[in-house]
Formats: sequence, structure tokens, C-alpha cells
Amino acid sequence: MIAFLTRTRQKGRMDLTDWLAWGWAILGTLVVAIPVGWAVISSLKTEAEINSFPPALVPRAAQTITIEGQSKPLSVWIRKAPDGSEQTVALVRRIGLAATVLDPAKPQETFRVPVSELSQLKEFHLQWSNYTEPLKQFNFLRYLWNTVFVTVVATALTLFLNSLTAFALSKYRFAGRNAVFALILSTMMIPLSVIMVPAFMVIVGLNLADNLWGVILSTVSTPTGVFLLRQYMLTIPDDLIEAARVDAASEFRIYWRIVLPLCAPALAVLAIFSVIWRWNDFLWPLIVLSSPDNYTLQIGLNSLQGQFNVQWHYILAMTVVTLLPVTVVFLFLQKYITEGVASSGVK
Amino acid sequence: MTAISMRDLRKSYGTLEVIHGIDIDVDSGEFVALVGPSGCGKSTLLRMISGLEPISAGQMSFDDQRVNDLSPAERQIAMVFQSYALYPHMSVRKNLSFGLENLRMDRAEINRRVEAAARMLAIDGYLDRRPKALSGGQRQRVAIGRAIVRQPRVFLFDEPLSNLDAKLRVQTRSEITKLHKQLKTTMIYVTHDQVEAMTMAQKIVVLNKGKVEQIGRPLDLFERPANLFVAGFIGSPRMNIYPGKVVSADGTGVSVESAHLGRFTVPHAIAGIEAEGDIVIGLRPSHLKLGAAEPGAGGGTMTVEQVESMGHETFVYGRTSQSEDLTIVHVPGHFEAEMGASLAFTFDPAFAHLFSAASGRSLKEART
Amino acid sequence: MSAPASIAPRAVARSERVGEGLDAVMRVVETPMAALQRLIGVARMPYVFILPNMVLFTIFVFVPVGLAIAYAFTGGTDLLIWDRPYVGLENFKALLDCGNYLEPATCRYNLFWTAVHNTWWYTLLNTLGTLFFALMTALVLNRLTWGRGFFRAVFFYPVLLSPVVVGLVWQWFLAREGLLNGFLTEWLDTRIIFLLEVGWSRAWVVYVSIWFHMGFYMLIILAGLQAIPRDIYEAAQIDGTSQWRQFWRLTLPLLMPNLLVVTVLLLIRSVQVFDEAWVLTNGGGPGTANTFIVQFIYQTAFSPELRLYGLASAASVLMGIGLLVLTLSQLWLAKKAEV
Repeated sequence: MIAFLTRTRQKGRMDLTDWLAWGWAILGTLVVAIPVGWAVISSLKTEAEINSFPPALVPRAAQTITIEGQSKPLSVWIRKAPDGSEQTVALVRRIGLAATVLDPAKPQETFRVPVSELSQLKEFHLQWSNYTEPLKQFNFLRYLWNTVFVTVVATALTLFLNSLTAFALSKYRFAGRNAVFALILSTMMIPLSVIMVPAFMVIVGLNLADNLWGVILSTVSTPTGVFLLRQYMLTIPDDLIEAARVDAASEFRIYWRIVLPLCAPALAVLAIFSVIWRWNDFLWPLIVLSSPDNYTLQIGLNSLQGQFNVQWHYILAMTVVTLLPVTVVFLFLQKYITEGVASSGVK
Repeated sequence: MTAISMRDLRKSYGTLEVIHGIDIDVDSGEFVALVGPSGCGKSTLLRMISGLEPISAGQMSFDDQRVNDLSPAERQIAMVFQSYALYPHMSVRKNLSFGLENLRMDRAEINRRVEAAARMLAIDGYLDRRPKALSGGQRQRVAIGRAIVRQPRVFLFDEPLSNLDAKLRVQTRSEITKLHKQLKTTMIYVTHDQVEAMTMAQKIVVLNKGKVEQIGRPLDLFERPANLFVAGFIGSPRMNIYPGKVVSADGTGVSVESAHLGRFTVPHAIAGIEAEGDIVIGLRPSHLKLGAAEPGAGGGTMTVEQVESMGHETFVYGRTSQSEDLTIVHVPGHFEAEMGASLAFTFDPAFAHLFSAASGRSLKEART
Repeated sequence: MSAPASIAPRAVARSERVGEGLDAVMRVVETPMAALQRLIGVARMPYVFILPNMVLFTIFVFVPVGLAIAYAFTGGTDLLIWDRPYVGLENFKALLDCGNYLEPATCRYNLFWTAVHNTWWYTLLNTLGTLFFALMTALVLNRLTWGRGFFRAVFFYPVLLSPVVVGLVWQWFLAREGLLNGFLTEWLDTRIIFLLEVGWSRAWVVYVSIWFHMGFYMLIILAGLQAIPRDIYEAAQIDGTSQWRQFWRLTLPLLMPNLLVVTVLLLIRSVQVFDEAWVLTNGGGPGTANTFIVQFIYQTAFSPELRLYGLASAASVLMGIGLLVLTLSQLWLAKKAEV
């Protein structure tokens, strides 16, 4: 095992730089994992726990006990009497510094003790209602549906229209082809932040303000997508296209039945990125969408932060729901994603 | 069955003309081979026939119908590509039926045709495989099958055998010939391999630098090459070439002198030949014999450089004393000779081909 | 060979049935497209294929680019360009009207200049910080012989999160009742309200940005490192070159083109900082300590009480010019790196 762990470039010997490298990698992993992990843990805490300080490292909740004759379940406490003896009690009510408690063994007898003698018994508890409550209380399902709608429709359109353009740019010679390609690539240099005001005016002019289609249509054409697909299509032999032409296929049918299926790997990469872009998109939906019914998850989540400043237990649960799909996608496709980024510089 | 005629066909890319006015007639049901060295324009010409390459000028007709502006589908041609161009994501069955589906043909008819073609080519066992799972020969047959099911007016083949190994190539050659006999469809076959052209085609078109050098039956090209290019291109090994001079010419024959072959008389009249004119003499290796020249016959001596014996026949390569070009002599059976040995060879002057040194054109036997 | 071949055909046949199903759906587009092809000819079809995308590019990119400049020369609070009065260079004059550019308080639009200053400092620190951590991490991962894929994935993971999620996760981590303060109380018996103190909040904005984006740049640098041929190092080892010297004399020079591209990319993206900083700091706070240029543009244009589209566009144009210079220098560097 040690031999395996120490298999470095020098074979068998760990020198100082190897230790430093491992230290850096492990420390970095903690730096990445802790904030996210902390949010996940916190999202499962009760409201009372989330506001208690110092924070507990595991989600807990007060232990309760149902006593005959009491209308509600009572919380369980340990009483440390002045003489040093310990006793488990159930808290009936608390007034100022005094508390009325009872011994669960003798539920009829209540007695008063100072609060300072009591410490609460807590048990491991996952507050799943943090996840279910927002569904009822807020428009959370609506946000989720809007986001899924935008993501799916925009990705489908992106794949379709960008591959169609890439097909024309890679498999035909026509006047202006290079100019069109250069023009499309040049849009990479124009960030949204520079054109957000007139872009919004265009949206208003098209009557798409506060409309999910305003978010979808403006992000469908991506220079990155066209570029990625074009490069891939250049590797498909022209013979196949001519064979299909001889086989009496129309040009669109050649695209649909020959080129598109053969582009599947590149389409998959673009689809993954497109889904992540749309899912995470923030500034543009923030500008276009104004009524809560049309919010996407990201906008909804951001607005809840202001609205329910103290309801962190709900905000964190929704944050986890928001990061979950991306995380799952990454877990399964991390190899494709990291290699796709490394080779194309797409983000 | 379709006859094809090409009249002054030209192709240019921008200002660069690559096909310079070609006239070819293909009879209905004929098997025509287009041969020539690489870059001669034979593939471009085939693509112009198919409709994949636009025609810059001239006229192409199928059965008297002008097809210049028709798409490949409208011309009803089928083509077998050098790379086969099988659709890698489709099964063999789908590869065969794709073209028919594009024509919105009836499903039952499609199935009937696919099954028939598959049986004919013995690929019916692989119909549900993808091309990747097939051997080179099987892929080749699928490519042919894809052409057959269309029942096209014309079959076009673009060097279809060049990706096969030697044994398979010979076998497929005869299969394609058989196919042509069976289907009786017009076929145009592009190849750079003159053996393929000679063994398969009924008519051969020799192309060079975008021009037709000669059109004719295979044996015609071999026996009566129209010029030095065809003489050098057709026949394996190539024809021996020597410079020479006409000494005298009359109605009974032509007397020729060459530094390499001595003096000999071709025993037939040749029209338009002049005494003292520079000519080129061409002799096929099979027409040279080892041994001293008999009186009246031509002959020379060469220094042996190499001997290739295949057991049943032997090629002797040597140089006549002054010449730079190798002389090749075909000897039946096994033959051995020392390198550097001096060997005499002779030939029957009747088999000598004479070409004008200036134009390279054949000086043809005057027919009376 | 024979076993998979006997299974594969069934799968092939099944996938083809799916294909035929899709085919039927696609006929809806295919039939009119084929008719169009007969009408206009094959040679014009590529224009049909690029048309939808070009229309969308025109509407959502090219037209806005033209309008951005037009807006910058208009005033008023109407959104539609034809309702807006022409004011000439007024917006630019207003933005640039300043007693001392180093003192935002002396400027007519002091928020703009505060944003410019904040952005400038953020860009400097974020670029240097990200570059350092990305390079170190890439070097470390390149050195690991085991677990490289795992660590690469771990370091890249934050890149895929949304800015809102990153902002909220860190806000919670740094909150008054957050984990960090829990540790501080435990060990140092103190608590810091990080995001309400100017210095701390600025530091955390930079830190969170590095945490968020570092993985992306790390991947690019790692790809560059792995493109350096192994035998160069082997030759250096035979020459007895020390590891330290190998880094300075071999790795760094060979990586330089890569690092330059990354640096310019970082600069371009840093100037446009908005999303995660906005969420993390609850809108640029405390006060205007973390208000950046894009936030200024966004607020100036879209907060209900301002709606100063002209002024926002003028700021956009100024930022756009800066970005253009950076982008062109990137293209220039990329071209130089190729040679």
C-alpha cells in the first residue's frame, strides 16, 4: 500500500516536493468541499438549529417525548441538580429564568427548576421538510419548471440551429462563407455586459420582455457551438455526403440522416455545456424576467435571499436543489467535460 | 439502358481549366473504362457524369436528353466510391434501403429489392451489421449492392478495387464483369490500373492532362496505340522506346535506322512518312527475342542489369550500349543470365510501332 | 468477434427503429426543405441553413452592438430609441466629469468612479491570485502520478456551479452564525461579520472568485503542461539540472504562451465581474465597497428609480472599448504564440 502511494516520478521515493504536492491537493480538496458540504449539512437542519451558535457539525433536533395529559410532545432535557445528581426531565413551559418540568416516570408531578440547571438533549435529525416546504410556500416548483423549460428548449434549439449553420459552413463552398464564419466568431468578443441595454430594448421591441422565450431565443445562437460543431463536421468525409446525394437524399435529409448522427460526440459535448449554461444563467434572465411567475431558479433563489433574509434553512435547501443536477451531470460526465474544456477552451 | 454522349465537355475552377473539351460516346449497355495517370482528370470527368461536379461548358446527354443541370438523383445514376462511403451509423440493410426510402418507395418493394441484391452479392448474412463489422471485401460488395438496388440507368465506379488486396481484387474484378453481363446496364469505370481496364472494359478511354488520348477496344489500344502516351501507358511491362530515322519509304515498306536497333525494314507502307524524318520506334517486350538478328530483321545488344523470373516467364532488363532507357525482353519459361553479360536480341520488324518524333503521333499502317 | 456480432445486430435494428420514428417527425421540416431545394437549387441551400442562426445573431448581437453606441448619445428615460432625444457627448461628459480621477468623491457620478476603482483593484488581485493558484494547482496535478483525474475533477467542480449558488454557499459559510465564525469563536474567541466590513468583504469577494473560476484556468494550464514533451526533462536530468532550475528554465518559458492567453482571458472576465459578487455581497455592499462597473451599468439602466439608459450605455461603451483592447491584445498574443 505504501509502495503504491509513493509511486512517484522518482519511483519509490517521496521527496519534499512530492509531500508538498500531496499536501496542496488534499488541502485544496478540503477548500472546495467544505463550503459546499457545509451548505448541504446546514440545509438539513431545523430552523432553531440553523440559528443557534456556535453551529453544530451534524444536523440535530431537540429530542421530544409524548406524555399523557400533555397536549403537545415535550422536549427532553437533562437537569443537573446542585448536589451533582442528574435527571432526565421533560420541559412543560418556561417563564423567564424558571422552568416547569416533569419527570417522565411520574407525569403527574410537575416542579419548577432554574433554567441554568437544564441542558437540552438533542438527537441526530434530518429536517427534510426544508426541501418539501418551499414547494408549498414559495413558487419553487414554478421556478424549477421555468428553468427546466428554458434549459431543454434552448439546448434543443441550440443543437439544431448551430449544427445547421455548422453544416453549411463545413460542407458547402458558397460566396461569403468565410465572412459569415468570421462574423460568427467575432460575436465571441461581445460580452452581454456591453450590450445589455440595447439587447433589452430589442427584447421589449419584440414583445418578449418578462417572457421565457426572451431568455431562450437570445441565447440560442452561440459562436462556441457553431465553432465546435464545424470543426467536428470537417472530419466527416465528403464522400459520405456525395454518396447520399447520389442516393437521392435532399440536402436537408443529408444533414438530418447522415451528418447529424455522425456528429453525436460533438453534439453531446455541446449539449452538456448548453444545459449547464442555461441552468446557471443569471444576468440575462435577471434583466428580462420581472414577474415572479417567470423567474428561473437562479433568479428566484436570488430574490428569496432578499425576501426571507432569515429563512436560511429554506434558502440552503433550494441552493442544494439548484446545484444538485449540475453535480450529478458532472459526476457522470466529468471526463468529457474536463477534456472538452481543456481541448476547446469552452466554458 | 442508357447511352451517354459528351460533347466538348469542359471543367474549370476559376480561370484554371482542368478538362479541356472532351468528346466521348458510350453506347447503351456498354462497359467503359476511363484510365489515365493520377491527376489526368478521370475522376473529375466521372463526377461530371454523375452530376456531383457542375459542368462548366459543353453538353452531356443521356439518351439524347440534356442532363447538364440535373442532380445525380435526377440523372438516376448510382456510384461506387473509392472509399465505399458506406454510412457508418447505418446497418447494411439501411445502407441499401436509404436511397430507396429517399425516393419514397413502397416498403415492400424496398425489402424485395434489398433482399434480392443481398442474395445476389452474398451479403444476406450481414444485413443487420454495421459496416465497421465487415471485412474490406464485404464492404465493397455492400457498396455495389447499394448501387444495384437503385436499378440506375448508369453505374459509375470510382477506383472501387484500389482498397482491396491483390487476390480479392482479381476476384472482384470478375464479379463486376459478371454483374455487368447479368444487369446489362451501362457502366463507367475509373481506374489508374490498366490491367483492370484491359480485362473488364469493352471500351477504354485513355485520358491525360484533361484530354482524351485515345478511345478504343482494349486490344486496339494494345495493338494500335494512337500515340506515344497510350503506347507507354497500355501494356505491362511498358513498351520499349528507341529514337530512329527513316532511311527510305515506298509502297512496299519503310526502311528505318536506329543506333540501338541497326537497320531494318517495316514490311508495309505507311502513309505520309518522309525519308530522313526523325521517328520513335516502339517495341513491346513480348515482341523481342533473345538471339542474333537474322538478315533483314532488326536487333541490338544489351548489357543485362536485372533478370526477373516468375518461373513460367522471365523479364530481362538491360541497356543497349548507347541508350539510357532500359530495354525489356520477355522470355517464355525460366531463363538465367549473369549481370553485366552482353545479350543480343532481335525482333520481327512487322511488329515495330513507328511514331513521329515531333508530335508523338502514331505513323499508321496505310490500309489499302 | 462472433459473440458481439451476434448481439450487436439486434441493438442496431432497435436503434434504427428509433431513427425511423424520429424520421417521421422530421418529415414536417424535411418536406418543405426538399421543396425549397427544388425551387432554388442545391447551391443556394447553405444560405437557407445559416439563415435562422444569422437572423438570431443579427437581432440579439449585431443590432444591439449598433444600438449601444446610438444609446450612448441619447438622454431621457424612455427605453425605445426613437423616443429618446439626442444629447451628443453629454453622457460621456457626465461620466468623465471629475475633479480628480483618483478621488471618486470629486466626480459628478462618484458611483461610476467608485465602481471603476473597485473593478480595477478586483481585476488586479483576482488576476494575480487566480493565476498563482491555477498555476500551482496545475503544477501539482501534473506531478501527481496517482489520483490526478480525481483531483482535477475536484478542482474543476466549482466552475460548473451557478454564481447564485456560489454566492449563497459562501454567504452562509461566512455568515455571523457561519462555520468560519464557529471556528473563530472556538479558537480565538472572536467573531467577525466578514461581509459587513469593507476590507474583509473585498478580500472575500476576490477569494470567492478565485475559488469559483480557478479550476477553468487550471485545466488550460494543465493542458499546456502536458503538451510539453517529456524528453526535454529527461535531457535536463541527464545534464544534472536541478528541479528548481528545470521549472524556471524549461517549464515556465515553454508555458509562457499559454500563461499569457490565460492572463488576458482573466483580465477580460475580471473586468466584467458581477454575478457572484452581487449575490455574495447582497448587491455590492457594504455601502459601495463591492460595486463594480457592470453593476453600475445594470443599476443605472434597470433600477426603477433611475432608468438612465443613455448613461448606462455610455458606461458600456467605455467598458467595451477597454475590453476590445484586451481582446485584440489576446488575439495578437495567440497569433504570436503560434509562430
